[in-house]
Formats: sequence, C-alpha cells, structure tokens
Amino acid sequence: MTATFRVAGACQSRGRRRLGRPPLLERALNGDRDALEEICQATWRALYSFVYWRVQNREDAEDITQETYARLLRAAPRVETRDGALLGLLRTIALNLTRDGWRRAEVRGPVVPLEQAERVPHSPGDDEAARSAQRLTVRAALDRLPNEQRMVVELRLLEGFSIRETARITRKTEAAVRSLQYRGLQKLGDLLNDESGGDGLAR
Amino acid sequence: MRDRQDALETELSRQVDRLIRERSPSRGRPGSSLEDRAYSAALAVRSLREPAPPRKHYSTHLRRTVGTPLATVKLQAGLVRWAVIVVVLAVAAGGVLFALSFRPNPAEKFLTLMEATARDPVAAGITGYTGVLFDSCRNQEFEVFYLAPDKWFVRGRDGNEYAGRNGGRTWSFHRDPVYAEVRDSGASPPDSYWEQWFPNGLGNVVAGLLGPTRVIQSRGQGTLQVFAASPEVRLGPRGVIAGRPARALLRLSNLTLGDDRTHWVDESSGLLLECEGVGLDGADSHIGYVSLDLTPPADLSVFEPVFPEGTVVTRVQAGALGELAARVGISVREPVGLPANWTLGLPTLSIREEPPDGDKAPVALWRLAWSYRPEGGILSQLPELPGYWFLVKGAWLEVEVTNASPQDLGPGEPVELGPGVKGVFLSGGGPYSQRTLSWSVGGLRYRLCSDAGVPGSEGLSLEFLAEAARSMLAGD
Repeated sequence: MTATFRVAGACQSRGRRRLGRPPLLERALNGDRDALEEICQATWRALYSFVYWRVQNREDAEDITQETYARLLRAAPRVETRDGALLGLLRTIALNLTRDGWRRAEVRGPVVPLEQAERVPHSPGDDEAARSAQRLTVRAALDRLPNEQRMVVELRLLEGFSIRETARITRKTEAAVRSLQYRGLQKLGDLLNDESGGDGLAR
Repeated sequence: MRDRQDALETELSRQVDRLIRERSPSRGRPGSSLEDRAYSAALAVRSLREPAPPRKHYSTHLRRTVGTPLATVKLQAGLVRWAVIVVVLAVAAGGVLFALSFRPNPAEKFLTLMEATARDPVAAGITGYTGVLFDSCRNQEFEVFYLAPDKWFVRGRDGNEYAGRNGGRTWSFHRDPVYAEVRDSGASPPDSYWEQWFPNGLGNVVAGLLGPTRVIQSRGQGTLQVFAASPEVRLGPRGVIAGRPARALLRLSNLTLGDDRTHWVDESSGLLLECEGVGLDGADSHIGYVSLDLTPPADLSVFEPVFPEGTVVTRVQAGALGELAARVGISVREPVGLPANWTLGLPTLSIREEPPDGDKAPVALWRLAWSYRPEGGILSQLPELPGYWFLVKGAWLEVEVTNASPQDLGPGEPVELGPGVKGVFLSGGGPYSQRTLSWSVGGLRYRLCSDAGVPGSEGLSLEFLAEAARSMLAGD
C-alpha cells in the first residue's frame, strides 16, 4: 500500500487547496480499497477518541466510529470539502450520530449539516484545550458537592465500584448510596449547566 | 411518590453500571430533562479519567467492515472482474480459516476454567456467595444465594417467584397463577432457567456455547427446536460486572435468526456474570449480576423449600415406568411400532394433594408421563432458509396418563380406537404444529402428543398415533 494520505493539512502544505472531493475519498468511492484503508488507518484513532469523549463508553464509541465511515461513503457524492478537511467531515458525521439519538430515542442536540463540516473544530490542539477546560470545570463542580455525594459519585464513576461495594466502603445502605448518587449527579448537572450558561456541557 | 423516586434512582444507577462496564446506555433510561442532566453529569465525571481503548484488533475489524459497502458499489460497476476477485478472496479466506482451525482458540482458557469450577467449585475458590441478578425481560431484580457444592436459592424482589436446589431436590414457586412444585432427586432437570448462575450449571453453559446454535421457532400451537451447526466462540472485550473483572465470550453462528448471546464470565472464577443478546423478537435483553459477594450466606434456611401457607404443592418423582405406575395402582403398556432409534426418556410421576372441597374428601390428582425421542435427530431444511441444513430434534412422542378430568378429551376429530373406546384427534395445522390423540378408559385419561415434523423430515401422522394408541389398549 502506498502511504500517500496524511491527516489534516498534508495537501495544504503542497498548496493544493481546492474545493471538491478529496482525491483519497474520490479514489475510495471509485472502489480503491487501499484508499479506504488509508482513510481508516490515518483517522480512526482520532475519531474513536473524539467519539469516546462524548459517549464515555467503548461500545458506543466503537459502533459510532464504524458507522461514521459507512455514512461517509454514503454521503460522499454530495459532499464538497477541502482536501485536508476529511477528519473534520468525519467528526461532523460522528457528532451528528451522537446527537441524533444513536441507540436512544431522544434528540440530544442540533444536527449539523454535512456541508458545514468545517465548522466543527478538528485541530487536535483545539480538542485537547476543550477537554482540559472541561476537566477543570467538572473537577471544580465536583469539589462543590457535599462530601458524601462527591465520594459516592467518584467511587462509582471514577473508580468503577458497584453499588454494593460503594455501600460497604462508605458504610451506608445500598439504597442510601443510590440516593446520594442521584442527588449528587443532579446537583452536579445543575452546577455544570450554570457554568455553561444553560447550554449544558460541550458535547 | 417515594416509589417513583426509588425507580429514578435505580434507573440512573443502572445506567451508571452500564457506563462502568463500557456499555451503551440501555433504552429505558429516564427521558426528562432532570434525569438527562444527571446522566450528562455522569458522562462529564467519566471524562476525568482516561478513555478505555477499543477492543483488540478493532482497527482490523473496522477496515474490513467499512470496506464491505464499497465492494457492493464496485460489483455493480465491474461484475466480472469483481467476481474473479471474490472467488480469489474466498479461496484465500478458506485457506486462512483452514489454517486457523488448527490454532488453539483463546476462548478455550475460559471454557476450561468454567468447566473446572463446575466440577469442583470449592477447589476453584467458590465456597458460597450472595448477589443480586437483574433480568431486563422481567424488569426485576432477584436475590441469589449459593452454598457449595450444590445448594442455591433465587428469589424475586417482589416475592412472587422463587426457586431453589438442595442437592438433588429442586423446588419452585409462582404466585400468579399459583403453582408450587418440589422435584425429588432424579426428577430435577439439570438445565433449569436459574442453574446457569451457579457452578453446577456452568458445564451446561459451556456445552451450550460449544454446541450447535439452537433456534426455537414457534409455529401455530407448536414449537420446533432447530439446531444449526457451525457456531464459533470467540474471546470478546474485557469489562467490569458487579465490580468484578469480566471477559466476554462471543458466540457466533452462521445464522441471522438470533439466539446468539454474549456471555460475560468472571475472569478469576469462571462464574457467569451476565448474559446478553437480541431475542427472536428483535429486542435487546440481558440478565446478569448487579452485585456479587463471594461470601457464603449467613442464613442457611433459604435452602429449604418453604411455601406460603395453604399452597397446594405438586411433588414430582422419577423412576422406572412400571414402578411409578404401581404407586398409583395402575399398569401401563408402552406403545409399540416406534422407529428403531427412538429411546425412552425418564418417566415422572406428579402428584398433587387437592384440599377438601366442601363435603368432598381430599383427593390426590396425579399425572404419569414419559416420552420417546430419536437419538440422533433428523437432518432437514426449512423452506425459509433454503441455504442451511439443520439437525432437527423436534420429533418426539409424549405419553401421559392422568386421573384428572378423565372424560374431558377436548375438541377434535373423533377416532375409533377399539370396542367402546373413542378417541379425539387434534392437529394444530401447519407443518410445525403439535398433534394430540386423547382417549378415556377405566376412569383415566390418556394422551399421545407428537410434533408434525417439518418439511423433509418424518412427521408422526394420525394413523401412526392411532396405531400406537391401539397397541397400548391391546388386551383391555
């Protein structure tokens, strides 16, 4: 396989910015399996990481990543984007999948048209900055929870203990742990919502 | 109000459990903005930790899967060229599969562990445990108790259902409709619904994983069990269930009919922790531990069968046919003329002591039943799946004799069975349905029941049933 594909910007560096389908995608659509594999090989880690951050479970992250490539192929004939924006396009598709109720009935946010793919930030630096900012916000909100609620939320979601194990550690009944967890996450949701001006988390 | 609050807390807790196990949220999670906000907060807290990596070989799987729709596009553009490529790929894949068939399956390590725990739970470090199972189909939690080597008890949280085993004896209770049963040693099925959650049942779980895919098809009034060959057990992702490291065993078959389930197995003990899959109705289902404590239960009284006061209990015992018949003062003849490879199953006698009804004295109702099945099964094809051959084990003949409602033969076609003996034949219609022939003699009701076979296999006709009935009446 010839390694001609580079993520974000490889073609830009050669001064070939143009509108239209990226050559690699064009080749993939024409049945070039190598081209498709190159797209996958070059983008799947970043895409999986992007999706995981939003859904926070491996099962959805794997499925949505896979479905994203399938949708890319289906949507490609009507997509106009620049050479280096393929990862951005993939992220837009993935974002839509996470928002349009992947395995869920409810809609979790607006769906972004594919044509607006470049509006989704796709620089790794942007992503990391956003994640760091969110982590700080969440950490600060956690610290504002009453001690018992914070401990239960941390034991459950960060340490992965079951309700029974959490009950044993905190010397409370399982019902009390469930209640503390519920109230803690409600309160945390309110705090994070206030922090983001009522728009919820950046997901 | 409190109940609703409890339900919300429990539901949120379940969603958190799924997140912990790297699973997608289940369908039933709360939809109000308040609960949604709580769930979003749970996701936000999870984002503080490092993300879980995808399964091993995920990228290979991804590249292979994503290429599939592309192949379809190209096939339309250049059918001949792709046909050649497909043939070449198929030959290559066949070669790879042939080579792989000689490599040890990494899932075998877990299957071996499960079998070892089944043989000797104490040696495997399991002396007893308590836990809670959640069954999504019934949306209910069940308390679980186990004491090595062969005592277990399962009780629904609502108290309407429970079952247990103490050595060879098993019992079960349902409140609606009321039914209570105690089975003596030998009369207890080794593969009851609950058995798989205990070391005793792990051998059957392994056999089920390695055995042929079972598909249960309902047709009309009858049920047909179809066994399709070529399943494969693969090692799946790691996870955490009830706080214990678990490994998924993926059972793959060449069918799209469902019944393929993922079994989550405790990495250290081999205990089954969760079973999930898509049922034939297309709905996701899962049953598994939400908590598990490997400490023997303190209260051993749960391992004794106790029923609510006034419950009428059916007692089931197994034994030789003649011996069981003698216990209720009758003699029976086996039907003759059955196919040569059909063998007699274990006869059982069920007795229920009915309470006094007004002036009437208490009466014992009993039912003596036995069956015949072919040893190997029948190879058949189903019209809806012409590409597959199945080993069909649905062909059988059941015989029942009872003193309950002897004259009530039900609706059906009259059949002359002998001097003064009239039978009633009932067929559910269609190729898969059951056929029954009932008659009444000497204050007892007899019934022969069989399946009607499937297309391409041997079915048991009315003539066959009538001849079998006459052979049982001979000499009366």
